[in-house]
Amino acid sequence: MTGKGSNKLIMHIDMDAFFAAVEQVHLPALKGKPVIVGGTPEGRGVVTTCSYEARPYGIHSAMSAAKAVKLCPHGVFINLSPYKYTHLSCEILRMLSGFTPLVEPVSIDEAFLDITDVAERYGGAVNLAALMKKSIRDRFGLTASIGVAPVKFIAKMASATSKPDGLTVVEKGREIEYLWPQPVRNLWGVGPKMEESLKKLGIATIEDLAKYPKPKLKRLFGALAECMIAMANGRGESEITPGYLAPVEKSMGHEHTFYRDESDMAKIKGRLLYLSDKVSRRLRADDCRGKTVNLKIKLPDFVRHTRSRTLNIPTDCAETIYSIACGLFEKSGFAGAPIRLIGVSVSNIEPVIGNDQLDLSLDNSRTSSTCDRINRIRYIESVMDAIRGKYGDDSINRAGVQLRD
Amino acid sequence: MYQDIDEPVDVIVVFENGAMKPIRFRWNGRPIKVQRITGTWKADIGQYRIRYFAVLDDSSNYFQLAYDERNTSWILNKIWVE
Repeated sequence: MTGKGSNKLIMHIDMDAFFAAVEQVHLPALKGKPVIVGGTPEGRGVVTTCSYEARPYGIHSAMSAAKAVKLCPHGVFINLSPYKYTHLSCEILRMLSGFTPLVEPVSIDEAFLDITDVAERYGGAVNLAALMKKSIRDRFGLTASIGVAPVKFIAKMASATSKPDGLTVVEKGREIEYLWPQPVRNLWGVGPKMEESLKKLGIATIEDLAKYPKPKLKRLFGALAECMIAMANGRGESEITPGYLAPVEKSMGHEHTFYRDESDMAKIKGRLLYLSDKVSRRLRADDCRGKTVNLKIKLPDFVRHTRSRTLNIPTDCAETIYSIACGLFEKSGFAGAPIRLIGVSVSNIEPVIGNDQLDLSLDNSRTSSTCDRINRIRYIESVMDAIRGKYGDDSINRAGVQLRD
Repeated sequence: MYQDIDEPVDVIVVFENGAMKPIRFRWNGRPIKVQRITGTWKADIGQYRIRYFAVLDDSSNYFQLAYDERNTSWILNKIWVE
């Protein structure tokens, strides 16, 4: 963590309602309408984002489409177009890299930039931010909100201060003045549950948090307290990791909402195989393996259940992930019950160091024939990767994969 | 809502400043003039690339055209219907 004395100028750029805004640019007839991206008008799936016109109805990302339909029946639902958004995101990042090479993508629609050494060239941070916003608007027809501060978390908070199309600069030495009057919920990492816990202690603002007795906070929140206290006093990270040096992801997962609630085990297992295969492909593409397989189940009443199992050795093998996910599902107590959504993810991820090795297995319970089989499967998966690399992701699939509901 | 069409179409393109731009296409025997390109993107499918164009005609009707580099063919991917 960088202390209060950080001399850095960190910028956070957040594209406003990115997916929905892209759809409105591509199809101008959607401008001024409540556009909801993700989910269906039949109420299946989850809202990924929505236009600003949809927000007064109470719609937000991660809301179920069923609820969004109720809140805004005349909303325009649009399917996600991942290629479209990814392409535009890359184009925007490429353009930003023209201003500074120190660009750290946070997600598809957010990035941190270190502008310490380039701001003066453009007449200061405000002018540079204004130029970036204009460049994004002129070339892509999109708006972005920008925050500038000496540390990353304040820059991120600042970009959210005046959305959409906002620009907020928190100068060095004015971090406390900016932070302290704000509700503690605005602090990066404080969610509704944490806010509730803090409120019970009489902590409503960031100033309350900064002045609260540290030992008591540490006793209650452990290591997290250190981080919260530092942030409440304006201290945080200011190091930018450019995209090409990005660390390994913490987890990788995919999920699927069934068109109708599904109880057919064969169909659920077919979908689990498809999801496991997708996760394993991502792991191999990033030269990673993971130890923990997680299963997510959402029931028709939207109640979510998770199960997980941790392996002795990390894996990137679809069949291993699938067999664990299936085992977790069978033991979950929901086999045979109607399921709304199913998801598979792998966490505890670590990079594959050195040459790729066949699975020699340190697990004594595995027989040599089991190892032979796993290694054969891994070989087949590497061949499938090569075929997909040449002909596309859907050019080859396992026979048991369930592609349609 | 978007409606999937996925029909082959004949397209006239120009190359301008290193970029390919569809200017007219024929669908269902009807010639359609591209009034405006509102967006372009691409999808890499294995070693091949599909280039997408979001275009409007002179009545602001929306069409999504796709150029498949694998077989140098054009597809009318989607239209927008109210």
